[in-house]
Amino acid sequence: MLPTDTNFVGETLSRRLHAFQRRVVILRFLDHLVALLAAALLTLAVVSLAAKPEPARAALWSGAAIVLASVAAAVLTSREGWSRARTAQMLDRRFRLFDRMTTAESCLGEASAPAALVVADAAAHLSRLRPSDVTPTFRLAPRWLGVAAIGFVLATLIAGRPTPDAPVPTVSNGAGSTGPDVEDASGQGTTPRSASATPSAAEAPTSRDASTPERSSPSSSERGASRASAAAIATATVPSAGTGTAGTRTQTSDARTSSTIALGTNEAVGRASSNGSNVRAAQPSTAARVSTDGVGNAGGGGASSGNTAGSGAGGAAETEAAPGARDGAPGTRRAAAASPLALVGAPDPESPTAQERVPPTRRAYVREYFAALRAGGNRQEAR
Amino acid sequence: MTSEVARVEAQAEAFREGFAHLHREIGRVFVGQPTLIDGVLLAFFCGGHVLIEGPPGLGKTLLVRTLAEALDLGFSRIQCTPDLMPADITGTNVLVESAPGVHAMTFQPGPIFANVVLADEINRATPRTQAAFLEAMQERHVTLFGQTHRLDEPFCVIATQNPIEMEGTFPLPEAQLDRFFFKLTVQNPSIADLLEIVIRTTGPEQPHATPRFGPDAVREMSAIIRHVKVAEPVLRSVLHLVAATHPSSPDAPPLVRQYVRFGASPRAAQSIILAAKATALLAGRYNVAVDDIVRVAEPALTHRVLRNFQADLDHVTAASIVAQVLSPLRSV
Repeated sequence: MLPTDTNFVGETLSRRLHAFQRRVVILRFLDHLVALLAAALLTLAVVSLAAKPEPARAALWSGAAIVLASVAAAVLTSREGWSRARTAQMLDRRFRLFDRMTTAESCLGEASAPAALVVADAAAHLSRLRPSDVTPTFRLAPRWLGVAAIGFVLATLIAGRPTPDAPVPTVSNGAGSTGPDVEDASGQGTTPRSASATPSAAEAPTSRDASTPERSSPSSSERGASRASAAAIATATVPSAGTGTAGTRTQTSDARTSSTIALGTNEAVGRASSNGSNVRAAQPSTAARVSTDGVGNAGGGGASSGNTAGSGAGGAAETEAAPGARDGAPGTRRAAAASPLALVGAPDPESPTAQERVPPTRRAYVREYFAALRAGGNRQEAR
Repeated sequence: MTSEVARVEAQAEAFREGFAHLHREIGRVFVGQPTLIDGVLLAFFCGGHVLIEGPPGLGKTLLVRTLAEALDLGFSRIQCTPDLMPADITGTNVLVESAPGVHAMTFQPGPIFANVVLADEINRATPRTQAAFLEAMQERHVTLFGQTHRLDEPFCVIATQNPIEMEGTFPLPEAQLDRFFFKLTVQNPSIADLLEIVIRTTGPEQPHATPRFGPDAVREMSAIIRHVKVAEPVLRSVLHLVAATHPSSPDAPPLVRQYVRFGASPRAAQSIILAAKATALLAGRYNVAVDDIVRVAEPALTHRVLRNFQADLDHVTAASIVAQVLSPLRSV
């Protein structure tokens, strides 16, 4: 025998249905919120990757996205119209109640014996359930999955593309171990660095790779020096190349590398030009020096040294390295396209000029030389 | 209110108990085919008529006779033949000498005046005779010589037809088919059922159903069915179901569009709802569920979906069409 106090049973059923309705509305809201937040945050990630906003602005955008997603989820939930009748239908399907709730909900308020029986039957079944039995589904609708997938793909594509002003990793691990100052790099520092470059664990692989062909032929050594210069260009940042070209000496730590390389270049240039007929003797020295500097000093001034090597070896090397030496960036980019590691010149410890020091008087000459180059003249004019 | 509720509950319980009793009693005589027995009983208690189709010798007549016997109701059998006249069914006025020298025309009721009427091989009767059934089945009265004679309540026509001997038959017109609440098919018995049939019917004693109920009890049992509640969404699902049997309907599945000439009439929806109510009551509920609809829809729709010539060519049966129409409801 079912309870037949129609009003009481009806009110009880109504209250319990309302509790389930609240639960369903909350769960549906969360369902929508999850999907919308996923879509909004992915879109935001894509936009942030593209626009690179400041952290404060990015945080503001994130907050706005969350608020918008919440509002949209609320709107979507309200538009679904989770009425008591619809909740009853959902309960019938979810818990296999054979449309008891739907019928009872439509019979609420009806004063007839069959209606009372239906309501009592439904109330008896609903009393065995709790609102917490309505578990969240968190089903992502296909459209949201599509949006999220598109956002993810876009974010991946954008994140995988290098930005134009991103720092290019240097070849040399010893870039940080730039000589204590310019004088060391150009003067006393050059010889020990040249001598110790080959056995150094950090420098050995790059030096050895490049030095092998140089030993077989002097001309290839010259080209190697030139290539080493190009590699140095490749590993240098644009400002440092410019510094090398200008031969400016600065005392800042970043610029020191450039200055050092520029100085090494100057040394090579000076040597090549001062030795005059002894071009071949100057080239190995240049090669060794440049490669040493390139390794130890991040090769910032390699652009100039490439030019220098070309001056000793003639045409080809000069032609090869000149663009990079003159305008810096294009040459740098082209050199970066090749493997920088293969192009780094190797020091030749057996070279007779490896231990050679550049007299200080040559520096002034090299400065003038580059000043003339910068002014638009050529090397012959500079001489 | 409480007493009313208790009364309804008692009626519902009586219906369930009576239905189970009838099922048992018929089962004592008629072996197997529980779905067929359920269908016949549901249609009977819902006040409908049944068309039973099956090859001869499968116990169709026995089933109907046993039903009438178990219900303790008036039973008559009409063996339909091509020379059967409408008057042979409905009855006629005959000249009777009531007293010496006093003659009067008196109505002599035909076999249609019974609670359970078996129209055996109805498709062998001529359309004119078949039409005589029409009025009786639908209006539950017979009009003769300007006089209307009401039929007894409960009234149920259970017609049979043989699907394999079609020569010399007159297929029932659509209008008459629509008047049958259910169309049921008798299946060939299994070996186990066949063994039981042989044992029962070849022994010294023939089993008989115990009579019970009577017309009043049956009317009371039938009345409770109509009190079962149907929610609007469930009702709408039935309407969509019936609408989907029409080839012009947007809800129509491909099979209907291709192979159906005419869909089910509103009588189909009435039959489905009533039968679903009885099914729900038997399941102990006072409300109709979609599952009840699915259970009773097939026998209610099969004979109301009229196939076209292409369906005959492609051997597409009405049952397969109805199954496709029902598929959306099954997945709910």
